[in-house]
Amino acid sequence: MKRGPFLSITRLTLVEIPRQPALLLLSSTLLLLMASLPFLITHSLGETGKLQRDSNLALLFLGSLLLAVPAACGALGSELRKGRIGALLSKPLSRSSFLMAKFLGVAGVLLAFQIMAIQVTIMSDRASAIEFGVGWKFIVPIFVAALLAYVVAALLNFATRRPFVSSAFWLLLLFMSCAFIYTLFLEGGGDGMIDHGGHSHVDPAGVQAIPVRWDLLIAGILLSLAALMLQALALLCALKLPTLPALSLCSGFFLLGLMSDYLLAERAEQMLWAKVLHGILPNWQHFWMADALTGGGSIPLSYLLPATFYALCWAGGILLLAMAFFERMELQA
Amino acid sequence: MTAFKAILIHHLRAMLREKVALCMLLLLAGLLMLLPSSLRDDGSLDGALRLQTQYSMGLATVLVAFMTLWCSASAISADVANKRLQHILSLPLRRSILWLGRWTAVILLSSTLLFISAGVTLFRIHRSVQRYSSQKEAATLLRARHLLFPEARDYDQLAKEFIEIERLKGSVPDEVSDESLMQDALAMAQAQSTSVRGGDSLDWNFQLERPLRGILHIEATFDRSGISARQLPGSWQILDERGQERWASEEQVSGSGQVFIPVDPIPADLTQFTLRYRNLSPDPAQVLFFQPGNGVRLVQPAGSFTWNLLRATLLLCGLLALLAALGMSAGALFSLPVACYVTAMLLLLELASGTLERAVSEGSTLVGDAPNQWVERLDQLTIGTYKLLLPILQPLNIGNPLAQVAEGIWISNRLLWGSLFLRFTPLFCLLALIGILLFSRREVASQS
Amino acid sequence: MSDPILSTEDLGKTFRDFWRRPRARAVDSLSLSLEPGEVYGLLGPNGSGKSTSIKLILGLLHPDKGRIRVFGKSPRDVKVKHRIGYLPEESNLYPYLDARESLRFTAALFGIDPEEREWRITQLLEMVGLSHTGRRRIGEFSKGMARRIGLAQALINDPDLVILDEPTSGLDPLGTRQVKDIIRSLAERGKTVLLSSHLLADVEDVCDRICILYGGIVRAEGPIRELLQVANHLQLQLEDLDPEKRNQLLNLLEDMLGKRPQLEPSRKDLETFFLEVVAKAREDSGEASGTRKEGELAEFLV
Repeated sequence: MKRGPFLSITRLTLVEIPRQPALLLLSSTLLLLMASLPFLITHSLGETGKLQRDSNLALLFLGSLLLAVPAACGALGSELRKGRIGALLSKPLSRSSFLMAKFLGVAGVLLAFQIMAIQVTIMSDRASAIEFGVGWKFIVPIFVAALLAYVVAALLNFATRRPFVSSAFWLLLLFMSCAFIYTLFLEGGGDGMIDHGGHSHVDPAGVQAIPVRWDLLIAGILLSLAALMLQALALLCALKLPTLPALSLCSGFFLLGLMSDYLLAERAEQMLWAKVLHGILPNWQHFWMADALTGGGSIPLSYLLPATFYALCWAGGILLLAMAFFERMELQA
Repeated sequence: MTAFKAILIHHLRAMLREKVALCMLLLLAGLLMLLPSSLRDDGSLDGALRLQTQYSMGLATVLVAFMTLWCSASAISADVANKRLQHILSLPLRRSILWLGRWTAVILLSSTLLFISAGVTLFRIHRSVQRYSSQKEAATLLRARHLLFPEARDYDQLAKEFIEIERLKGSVPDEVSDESLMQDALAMAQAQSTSVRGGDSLDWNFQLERPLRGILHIEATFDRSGISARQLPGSWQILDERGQERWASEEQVSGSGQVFIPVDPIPADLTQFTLRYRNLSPDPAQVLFFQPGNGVRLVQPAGSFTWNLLRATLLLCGLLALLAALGMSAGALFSLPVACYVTAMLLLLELASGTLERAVSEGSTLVGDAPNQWVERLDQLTIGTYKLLLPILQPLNIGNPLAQVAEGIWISNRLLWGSLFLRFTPLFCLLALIGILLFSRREVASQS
Repeated sequence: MSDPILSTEDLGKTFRDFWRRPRARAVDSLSLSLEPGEVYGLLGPNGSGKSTSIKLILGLLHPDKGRIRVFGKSPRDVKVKHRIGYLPEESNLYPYLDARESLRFTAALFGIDPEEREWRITQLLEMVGLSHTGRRRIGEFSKGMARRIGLAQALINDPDLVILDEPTSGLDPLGTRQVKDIIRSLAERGKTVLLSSHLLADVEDVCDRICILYGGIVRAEGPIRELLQVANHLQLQLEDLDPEKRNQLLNLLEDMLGKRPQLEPSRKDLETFFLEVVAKAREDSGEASGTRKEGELAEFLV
């Protein structure tokens, strides 16, 4: 595998995908919705923190699915359907390398979204840690970061004619990270009760430190691993299907994966086909650790290793299948 | 007309030939055939009916909605992207005809898929009938009911009257204002309007559009004061406008729950009447509390479950038609992914219209007080935006027709035809006008 | 003198970015006028504004300044389009339709009766040499075949003004010759043709007047014969001259002119030679697959 063309394809994909306006719009909407949850969730009877955490993690996962499929179809599918693939593969680059490079490019863009989403989840969690109130100092930097990203991207476009959409996306990552680092140095959140994963207490001093829940980082990483598996599937679908059928298929896998235990676990004990299907279908419950964080629980770091191994094996298997399929495909130049 | 027909037929064929329609059909088939088999109901026909109607048919509706969103957004934007539209618009074809022709094609396909889903749901339900209990139970469950509600009480007026009575009794000092007593008085008024002591009676006034006829039941949901094994005697009466009794029946209630009392023979030709319940217990402490809101209602069989499901499907088709118009307008202005995003966001906003209504009625989106004036201003700006959006979103709020069907409540003519003609049609005309106007002004040939 | 079929006055179009700053001046101060029955060529290198001018004429773009009149009306008037036939630069036809279905769809948009429609389609397919394609989808056609279908679509409504944007793009020399023959035949029957191309040889063969654009501005305009005349140059063509008479002629001319003129054998152009070779090969070996010799111009195109 030569480094030159491989890295070039990856770099091109990283440049190309963020230029899609829908990617920026969807990412921004999801991030701002995640940031708004602490003050939108009402009447939760002490469960605000849990609701907000679960919702944010769910949005991270769902957002990754909604972004992965159009990104994969845009990166790979359009090359195939518009006939540009002939020019690309006439260069000294094998089909497998090309596919891997595309996968890495898509994964890179989605990783950017997931980093932002995890940062927002942590900030948002600190904001909702106060019962019957909102920690505004943790929320406002998120909105300021988003606004700054758009304004600076507009200025760059005006001054240097750089594409607005891709600039805004990468600036969003930069400013969101700055906002996150800024909030790490903040301690207090206000008066009142704190919800520490369901155990509320009143701080007699009035202003108290709201800790950073690094467990959410681990929960976010697990969901990002699950999203990686979906990305691989999306890439396989993009070889043959346009965006909507690919999205439908991936959504179907997503839903089946959520219900895998319910649908197949019992039957797997008696029927071989159920056992095989139960083994092949990805089981997203292994990656959904939000419930473990309730009641002050935590996710052990050691859990990451087997989860990563499972995710990489599954995604690797799908990518191998995609490569085998791609090697045999007749391409239109 | 020829051009319209040509565009309509051509676009239908285009959608069917693309993998979108095939993929959707496969998903729908999978959903409608496999999902009910995979999910376990509670073992009763009622449970099976709710599962099929709310979950299978509900998910099918969501799938078709997404397909409608995609097809409508791509109807024009795809042709702009591949430059085919330049050729089409060089032909003697009004852009409005192109817009309307393709919209009609999208809605024809969506409606067909939705009615096919309804057909499959009905088929599975009728199979469930054979599998589950008796034909009698099936006959009851597979009929939709028309609910007649009493006139809403004016609690404010009742509260004011209550305050006045208490002032006359001397229980309230003069210096205490009516406003400060209002909240308590309202609570008292509501409590008094839904409870009846031993020896007392409680009235509900009914004003109907059409006279009573056919089969009628009184459906009452209630609670009793205290715990007692003894049955509580009571009587039901229907009194006409002049106060004359037209029907009466004595009932014994025990515990709490829901009763169905047949009104037989039904007093004919009544459009305005009073339903009275008299608590015949000699002990005033024996109180019966009716559920606020829908504690007492009249129930009439309205039609078959099948017909009700088809009416609900027609209502959903109306919503899809609006969604398609929204998608077409967005597609006329933006690229395909952005058009899908804009349409999806507006759809989600519509689904969240209940939350927006609540926020507007509460006057704030915040939990707790705003920490500073900037947040307060932002909150007011948000509320202002919601107020602007609500007039557009409220007409779309038709509740959940499938839930109604699952509960056996008839989709009334007012809901069905009123929604289709008085709510959806004006909104569609507005969307179509905006979409066609934007499309007419758009330069479809990009710089080459 | 009859009114011009098409006229533009001081037409201008500048593409702008999001901030309304000019990005590219596509057309500037374009004034031209097409008389009925003439073949008018719009020439220029890539990016000179040819396609933009055509899109302005068709109402697909809005001009920033100037006026356009087609058949005396604004190009945005839908009724005007009944009399126009347009072949776009990129024939993005629906790939899942076959040739007949594609023409049928276009004919329906013109409101042509079904019977008349089928008759015209049959003639047009024969004219462009695609009557043998049967149920083959357009998505499977070669570029040249797709171009021919595009041409057929442009003529289905028997237009008075035919606008062809790079009509010979992607066609083999045989096809190019046939398209040029069609264009000439159309002009003979009183149609007006606006032809945009950067293939000079094609334009030279068929056009009566040309306009050369560069940077969106007209650089030259007029009848082609006048524009291509070289001052003080004459051409003499002689056939079957034996060597003795040739020398006598050269000597005579040398005496008259004071210098010996150059005498070279006449050359055919490559296109003519190619067509002769192909015609002979056809005679010897029968029809080639793909395209065949087209028939004459369709009857309904009068």
